Amino acid sequence: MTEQDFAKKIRHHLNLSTKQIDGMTLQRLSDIRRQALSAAAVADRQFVMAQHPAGQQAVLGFHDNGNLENGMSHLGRTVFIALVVLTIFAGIFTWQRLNNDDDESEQGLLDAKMLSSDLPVSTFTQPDFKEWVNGSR
Amino acid sequence: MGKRLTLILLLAATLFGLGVSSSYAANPTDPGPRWESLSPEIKQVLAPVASDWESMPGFQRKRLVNAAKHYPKLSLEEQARFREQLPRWAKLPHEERKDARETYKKYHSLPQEQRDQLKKRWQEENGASPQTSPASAAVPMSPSGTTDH
Repeated sequence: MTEQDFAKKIRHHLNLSTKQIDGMTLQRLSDIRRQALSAAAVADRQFVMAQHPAGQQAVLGFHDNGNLENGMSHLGRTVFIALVVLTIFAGIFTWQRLNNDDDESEQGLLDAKMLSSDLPVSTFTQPDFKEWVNGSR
Repeated sequence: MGKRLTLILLLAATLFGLGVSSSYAANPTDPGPRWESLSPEIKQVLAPVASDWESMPGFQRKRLVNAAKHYPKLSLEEQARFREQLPRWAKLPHEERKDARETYKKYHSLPQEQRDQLKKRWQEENGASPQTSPASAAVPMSPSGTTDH
């Protein structure tokens, strides 16, 4: 029997028993797991993170399909998230910049059209004229 | 420790993103382009307001430069009107310019026939003749931005 077969057999019992662990033990187990992970050189452990049903505390457990999760080290995951956030901001920044350039060009075109209009620019500030324009719409 | 590092990195990334975004956002204290930094073509178009340039706020300078970029695409007659109206336009208070743009947008969205009627009526009531400046007042500029002498 391989380790994985054995794990599959006992995972149900393990997962059930984790629900009965008190908070302090849970914390200790979590600390031990963290220490073990940081001591290990290889990140692809046979453990996966399972969420405790009662809260957000991470506990040791086995995934139902026995696949490896948590293949990325904590630092790697943190850097990855930071990069994703940076990429999103870079995207927003670029989008804003492109929009701003378009707006400026459109505003320039509007001013150019108005300045070259065959009505004096002062006409467009006259209340009577504004009233006429609004009345024509 | 790990969670703290994650939080710090996320916070740093967020602050960096916000900093970059806000640095590009419209800044009312931005002095805008300096007269010396303008291209010779733009300077030529904006020459009627050169003496007022230093006293203009940055956003107004930018808008004038943006308008001047469209100058080469105008006909000779339009270019003449552009330059003729420029000093008056630049001296209008910001609110009036904003107001004028709004009215112009509405006016421009009307069908040509209605625009002509309005123009005619306005000119009749105000005794104003259409803006028919002599084309010689324009600084002719081809669409490429070079002056046609």
